Amino acid sequence: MNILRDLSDRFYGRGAYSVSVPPMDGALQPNHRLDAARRLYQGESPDNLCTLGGGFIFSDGAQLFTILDNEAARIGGHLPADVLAMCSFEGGVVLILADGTLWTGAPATLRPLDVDAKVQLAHATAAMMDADGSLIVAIGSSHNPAEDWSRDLMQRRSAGSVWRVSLVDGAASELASGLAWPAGLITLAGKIYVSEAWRHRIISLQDQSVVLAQLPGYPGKLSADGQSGALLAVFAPRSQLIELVLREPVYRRRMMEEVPQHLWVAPSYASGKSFLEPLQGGGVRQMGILKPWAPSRSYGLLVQLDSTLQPIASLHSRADGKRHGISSAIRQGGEWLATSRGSGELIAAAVAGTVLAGADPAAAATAEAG
Amino acid sequence: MSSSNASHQHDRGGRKPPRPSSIGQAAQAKQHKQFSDRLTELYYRVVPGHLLGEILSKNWIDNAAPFLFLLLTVGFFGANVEGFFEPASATELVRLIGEFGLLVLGMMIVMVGGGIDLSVGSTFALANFVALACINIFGLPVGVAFLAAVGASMLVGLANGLLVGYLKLRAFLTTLVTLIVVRAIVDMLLLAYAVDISAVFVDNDLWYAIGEGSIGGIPVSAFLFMAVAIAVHVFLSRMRTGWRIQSVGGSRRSAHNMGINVAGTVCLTYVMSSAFVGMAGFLYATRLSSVGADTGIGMEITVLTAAILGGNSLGGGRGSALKAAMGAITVLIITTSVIRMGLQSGSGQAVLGLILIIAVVVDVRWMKNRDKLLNSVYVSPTFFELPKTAVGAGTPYAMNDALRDVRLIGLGEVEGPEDVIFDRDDNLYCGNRHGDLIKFFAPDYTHHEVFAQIGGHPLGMSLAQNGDIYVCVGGMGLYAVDRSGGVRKLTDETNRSLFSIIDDSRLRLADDLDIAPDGKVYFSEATVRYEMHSWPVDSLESRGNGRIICYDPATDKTRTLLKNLVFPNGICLQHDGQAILFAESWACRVNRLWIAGPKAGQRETVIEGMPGYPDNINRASDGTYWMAILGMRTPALDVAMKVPSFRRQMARRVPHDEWLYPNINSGCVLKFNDAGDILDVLWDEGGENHPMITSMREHKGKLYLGGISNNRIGQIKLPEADQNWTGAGSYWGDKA
Repeated sequence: MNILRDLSDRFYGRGAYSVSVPPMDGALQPNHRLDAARRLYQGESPDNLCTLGGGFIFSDGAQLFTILDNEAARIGGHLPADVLAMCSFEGGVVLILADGTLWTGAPATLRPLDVDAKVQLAHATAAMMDADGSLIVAIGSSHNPAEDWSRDLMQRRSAGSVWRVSLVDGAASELASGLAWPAGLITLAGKIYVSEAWRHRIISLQDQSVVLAQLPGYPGKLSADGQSGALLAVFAPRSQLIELVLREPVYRRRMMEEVPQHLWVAPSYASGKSFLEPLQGGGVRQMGILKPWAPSRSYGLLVQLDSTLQPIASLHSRADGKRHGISSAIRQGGEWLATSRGSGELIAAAVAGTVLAGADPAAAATAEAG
Repeated sequence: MSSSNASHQHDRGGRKPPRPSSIGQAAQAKQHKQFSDRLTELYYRVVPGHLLGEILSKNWIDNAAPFLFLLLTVGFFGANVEGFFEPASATELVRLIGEFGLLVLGMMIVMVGGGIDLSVGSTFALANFVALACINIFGLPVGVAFLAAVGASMLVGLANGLLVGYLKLRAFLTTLVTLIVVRAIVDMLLLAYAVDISAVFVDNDLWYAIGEGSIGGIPVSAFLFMAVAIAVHVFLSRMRTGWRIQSVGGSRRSAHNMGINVAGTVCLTYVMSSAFVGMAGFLYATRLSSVGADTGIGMEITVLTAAILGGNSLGGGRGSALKAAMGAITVLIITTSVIRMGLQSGSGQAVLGLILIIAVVVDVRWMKNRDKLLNSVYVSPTFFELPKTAVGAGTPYAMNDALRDVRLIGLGEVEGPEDVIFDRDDNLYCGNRHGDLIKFFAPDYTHHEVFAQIGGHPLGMSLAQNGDIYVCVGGMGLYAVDRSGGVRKLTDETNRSLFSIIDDSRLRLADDLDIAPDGKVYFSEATVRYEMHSWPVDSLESRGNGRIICYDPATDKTRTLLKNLVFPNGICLQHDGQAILFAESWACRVNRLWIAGPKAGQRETVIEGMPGYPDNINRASDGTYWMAILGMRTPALDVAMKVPSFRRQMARRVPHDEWLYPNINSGCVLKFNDAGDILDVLWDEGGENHPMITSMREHKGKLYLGGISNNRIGQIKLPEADQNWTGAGSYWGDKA
């Protein structure tokens, strides 16, 4: 029966063979707010925004920066390798670098910490301090380092894991495994939630129950938004063509063998930079104009979530925009700050009213009460 | 250069090279891949997958299911009924088919007009009675009896037609009422005259000849049926009124809006139907001379079954005499054979009912899904491996900014200038997507006018000796625009291929042309399978769908010279006039076709393995040629070309806007010589001013750029070129 169902699904393109992508509607209705946002910093690949004291800090490659008087200010020296994940605690930060080392302390005086070798820190995607002072680390995949995320997606892996690491002695214990590219972590009301990118959803770590599913993109880093909500950085869009490629093993294998990775039919932080990149029909310039709705391998999407991790507002940069590949975001006063890997910028946008016009007032009330 | 790599050496921004596996493995994998590629290639070469879609796009495919069912019926009963094929029984069957077929023809016409006629049985009985009464009681001639029978029936049809057509009553109820009323009339008449009719013995040879005679073994009724069927076929498919009936049946509202007299047309269908019923009733009378009370009872169901089984749509608008004939034959074979097989009485009706249900289901599902099915199977990609290529530094295609300082002409004022051309007075002409030819006035080209309205998107253009502009018009064919702006058609069709399923005589996408010294026009037709605006879809197939065609103005004849070309696009006459150069876009190559001299008729490849898709080719002032590259190859698409199954799934599963396209957002212009050497390449590396270039034309030291999805014409200076050179002069000599 299952085989029959499978065959009929394959024939009709249903079930597991469906390439449909959830529409961007409701709270996710497209706008141009990321493109309209103020630029604070222009670099190569800013990432890992986190609050520190009253200010904030972010990484760009192997360096740390903050913004003072609208000027980027470097903090500390050159690190031995690119920063993969960062989180802060009172008086200091924890850094995980691409060479697999973990550093902790005040940004200017970092010390390495030996961590249990079971944890593949070189594949880390996100880190978070837990209430008890230990560190929660998300490992995207046991097969591919963080930079190789599109390869991991194209290999259809679900080899990610989440670990608890003691910052005292570096001892580690596995909290979850078999996740499809866990890329963001957050604690809300004492519970840990993980964004599972390749399954387009956010799950609760304890019971692996799904709290938000069917996202139109690949969810990445999570951060607190005000007292009770959260911000979700969606680092790449889903598209029907990519969903199709994911279901066509022959083509996918040959593409991975024969085509350079940045020219794959795969999601990306940025697109349209080379004429060797794949182009889709709607992306053809007509009369000199690229339509905002054009299918694109990259997209900018920052989602504001309520206390139950349901979307209530969103900021977009569409196909005709540049601020794609939103890698991290935080709330800083009345503004949201976000890093765009696509354009290499740090940008700031005013926080919108938390209740959407036309949204269900009862739901909003619940959100506030929660 | 690693050959297992997709052959794209240009790797700007690539962070990592592809990971090499161990060398032995890679070599093995490569060999394996090549072998499986060859198998795939062979498969797609042998299996003509595109024919399925083409067959489904034909109207006659509606006949396939009924025809198959007819064959099955003949096969089954031929094997199971004793003596099925014996002359005597076969002749009897054919005689019945003649009668029954006329009834089904009538029903078919009513159905095509969007109605239904349930009164056939009663009308049949009435005609039978009238014919017998004329002969037996009044002793009238056979001809008069025939006319009386048909006339009486037509009166019933007229009643139906007036009620349904003009008073807009429901066809089903109205004809049901007529069925009952006419039956009652016949019963009353029978009560009064049955004895008179039965008592008389008719002595009329013609009467019996019609009823029982044959001509060369074929019964008279069958002849009559064939004649009527052919007439109906011509009427429905070739005549104005027939087309109107189909329009009314297809959509009453649209037919009304188009000015068709809907009521009259509907009325006509009922009158015609009843006339055929009258003929059938007359034939029945001559055959049996019987006035039984059960004549024609239940006939409407049998007739309706036959009409639907033949593939005539209950919904109206679709039907043909052939379908009616197939349905009639099938149903008659079933009903008579069921009786002859000795099944219980009533089982014939049961079988018929069952078939009716199945036929209705098939009809409804087919109507609903035919277009969906066609959409999902029409695009039929094939295996297509492009030669390796390279672009960027160290290749002839090194990047530069030569097109950056382009001057823009008509920015935002022209939409889709595929090609540009100049007359002898230096005025510039281009087409636009609204179907006009636009004239920009020399010398500064700042103001323009609509020079000619053609109606289709003008593509490639050439200047004829007398100053006319010859232009390929998408969807229309080859046209000429004279110096006063008058438009005249040169040709819109060529010779039809013998074995082509789709009609390839019409020109679908004439693309570019050039004119030989003897006046012959050589032009390319990019694809015979797609319309103008679906041209990128053809790239998904990369099958050889295109042609090179020659039009000879002297004889007004058009001939196809070369077929199965992969999107033939730009065409240019060589400087020596001996050959034409033409580009095959999706194949990324340029060919030469000799048209004169010792090699006339031969074809050879000039340039192969380009990194982009070539478009128009035009002459340059220094004896070489300009060629536009409309878009660049992308490695991901190159791989997809070798995996046709992926492209087929893409065409089926993914909406059009999401399909993988050639990268037609960026292009360049290059220069090559007769030997095929790339001499120069002009890029706009940022791609801001000229995202897509489909043509370029050199004129007096400047190069003008056109693009089919651009809203501008570009002009760049060529300081080193001959500042007095013009295309017109190059082709036809300097102005006298």
